[in-house]
Amino acid sequence: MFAVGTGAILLLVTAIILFVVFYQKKMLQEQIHRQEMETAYQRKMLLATLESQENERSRISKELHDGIGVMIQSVLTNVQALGDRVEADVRHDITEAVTHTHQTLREISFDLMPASLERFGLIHALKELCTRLGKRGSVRLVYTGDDSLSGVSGEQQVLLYRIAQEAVNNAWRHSQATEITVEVRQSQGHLTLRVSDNGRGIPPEVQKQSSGLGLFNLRTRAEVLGATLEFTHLQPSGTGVHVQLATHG
Amino acid sequence: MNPNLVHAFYGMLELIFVFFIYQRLFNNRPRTAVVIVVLVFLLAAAALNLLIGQGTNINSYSFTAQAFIYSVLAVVYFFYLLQHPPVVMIQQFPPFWFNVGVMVYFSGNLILFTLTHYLVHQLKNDLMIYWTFHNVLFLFGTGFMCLSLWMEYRLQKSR
Repeated sequence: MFAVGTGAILLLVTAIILFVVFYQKKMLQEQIHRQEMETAYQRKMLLATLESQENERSRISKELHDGIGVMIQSVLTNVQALGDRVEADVRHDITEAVTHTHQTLREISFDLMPASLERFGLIHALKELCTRLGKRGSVRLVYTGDDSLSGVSGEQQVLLYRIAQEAVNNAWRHSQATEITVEVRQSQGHLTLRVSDNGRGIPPEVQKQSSGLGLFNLRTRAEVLGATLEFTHLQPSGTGVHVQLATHG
Repeated sequence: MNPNLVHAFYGMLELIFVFFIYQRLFNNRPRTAVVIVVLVFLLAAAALNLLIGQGTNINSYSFTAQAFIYSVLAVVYFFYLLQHPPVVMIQQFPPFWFNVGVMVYFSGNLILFTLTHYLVHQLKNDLMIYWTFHNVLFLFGTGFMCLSLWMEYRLQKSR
């Protein structure tokens, strides 16, 4: 009698154990699925935010360049047309101030969204970035790499440009480098963007923090792109920012 | 020396250990004071059974009560695991196997302990089947507990 009872209880025990194992497995799978969905949703939201940010930048850049820029140009023409009605010194000062304002406006407009990026693509915009920043200071900026890209969408090019811009700005402002190199190479379904400098390098603790020096922006954009982002310490000195993206080209 | 006496004291010690192990498994709940109060009550009952109840015979009433309490604890712990799932698969979680061991041994022996008094008087000294059942379940229960310890050891080592 007790054998039957014990057998029944053991069967019940086995059933309970199996139920717990399978139920927990199912719950874990659902949890993983939910997390994946949340990550995908967050990525989508981030992409939408970045897109709207880029659209807004583009709009403001065009307004500055085509609206206020034209107005300033018109003021400049009028000042020059004043001729002898204004003293030459005063005219010269005004002309210089307006020219300087126009130049600054063009730089702000370019930083917001380079027209060349929308018109001619990433490579042209990076070359222009190097040329413009090279003129601003004592740092030598060089673009080396491919002259054309294939299989990279407009959104991807904008994100890659922003990563390169952030990396160049970081190196330019904080690394005390004398030379910054920007390189884009495409081969066998992979695009590689590399920004390297000969400065003092990023301390490892700053790299781990994911904040400061715009590193957070770099990581976020790389994540949205689905690209890998690596920081390397270069010998004898300097930092390399290395982005790798799978492409269809 | 009468082995039943040793067994009775062992049962009391086991009660203390199992209660505090489960308190840890339930993330230190209920509070230690509550656990101690319940333990004192149960130990007093076991002591009374030893002194004026079943005496130097097998203290089957105490063991039956303990087996019932441990089985309930094991079921509640499974429920707790489902409510607070560990980050890993449950089969890789050492306390899960400890609980399986407790459940297999004590639930399996619940009927056996309940009927001990009757069986001892009915079967007299022919308790072979009784001990066979008990020992096989004991082997399985201890085996699962050893598995739990081994997994915990491997986890500690990998950290």
